[in-house]
Amino acid sequence: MSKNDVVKAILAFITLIGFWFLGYGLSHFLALPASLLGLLLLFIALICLGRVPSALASVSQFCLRHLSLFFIPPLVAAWFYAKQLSDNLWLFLFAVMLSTFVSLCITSWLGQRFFGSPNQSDQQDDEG
Amino acid sequence: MDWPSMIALVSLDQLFWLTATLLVYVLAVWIFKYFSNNILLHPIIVGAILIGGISLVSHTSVLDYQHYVTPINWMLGPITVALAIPLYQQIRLIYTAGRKGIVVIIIGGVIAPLIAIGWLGLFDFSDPVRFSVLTKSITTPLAVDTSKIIGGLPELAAAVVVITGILGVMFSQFIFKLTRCTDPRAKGLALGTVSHAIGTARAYQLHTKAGAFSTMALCVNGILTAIVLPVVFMLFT
Repeated sequence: MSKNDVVKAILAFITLIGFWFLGYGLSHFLALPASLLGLLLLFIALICLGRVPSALASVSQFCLRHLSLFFIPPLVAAWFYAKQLSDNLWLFLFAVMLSTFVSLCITSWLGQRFFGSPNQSDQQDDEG
Repeated sequence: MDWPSMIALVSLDQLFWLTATLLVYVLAVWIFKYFSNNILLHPIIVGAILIGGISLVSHTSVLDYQHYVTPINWMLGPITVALAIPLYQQIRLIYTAGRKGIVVIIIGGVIAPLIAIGWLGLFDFSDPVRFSVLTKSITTPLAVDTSKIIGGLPELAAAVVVITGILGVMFSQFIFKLTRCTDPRAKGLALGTVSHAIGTARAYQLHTKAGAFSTMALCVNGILTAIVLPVVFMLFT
């Protein structure tokens, strides 16, 4: 990675932060999440630009690949709520489990009905 | 926030916990790879357990830990914005998948939170706890912000999102057999709609086409839910 690439990567990250702040500013007028508004603004900007700058593409790919890091603190915090829910914890977890199971069944069934064609050999698509 | 507390934010404790979280994450990723991506050893789970262990040993409360690692939460916003790039790259796919794909995503995105809140409605749960499951199928950063707006508990919402993601991947193998789902596009749509980013990582393991569809489902469901929920709450409360 040359010095130039590093500068570009930093600029790309600053672009992301800039768009987040734009979204944050807009969130005072629209009752929507700031990061969502930033996302939509960047999306519109990309459409206007007609391409994704390579530095922005690689920086965002890096960030999204390591999204898990950002989930660790909230999951630790959830322990605090797990203790508060105590008796109801299993009822609560069951709600999450049941809804995940049913919605996954419905989406995969519908998706298969819409996209899957039983006559074609799906095996070759399925090897991965 | 006043100046003394701003300065107090940057403390040795904070530096320690930030470093510890990063190191634990690297270790957790390595463990996940070493055990050939077993979903039960997902970096989020292993990471949270390790951090929990360290905080127990060092007598640090969970709330203090949250306070120390706030810089990590600051970065979450800009990283959510980065989702615009895969969304833009998949735009052609959204066109070709067209109405069918969007219908699958919307149905999945509506059914999951409705079942969860319906079940919780049968029992004695407080409103903030109930509202925290509504964002269960969208990616964490969007879920946290949306949950704040509709009056849920952001931390609980984030945990629900992570649990949904992991359960979805665990169930998926069995469910795909049950529904005879063999098409990679259908698999990707289901994983992305229900299990957001965790499901998308799994979809990429299955097939690149599944990964692309999963990314599209993750973006579309996340954005639609984050727009629809606040609007619904604004109209009905």
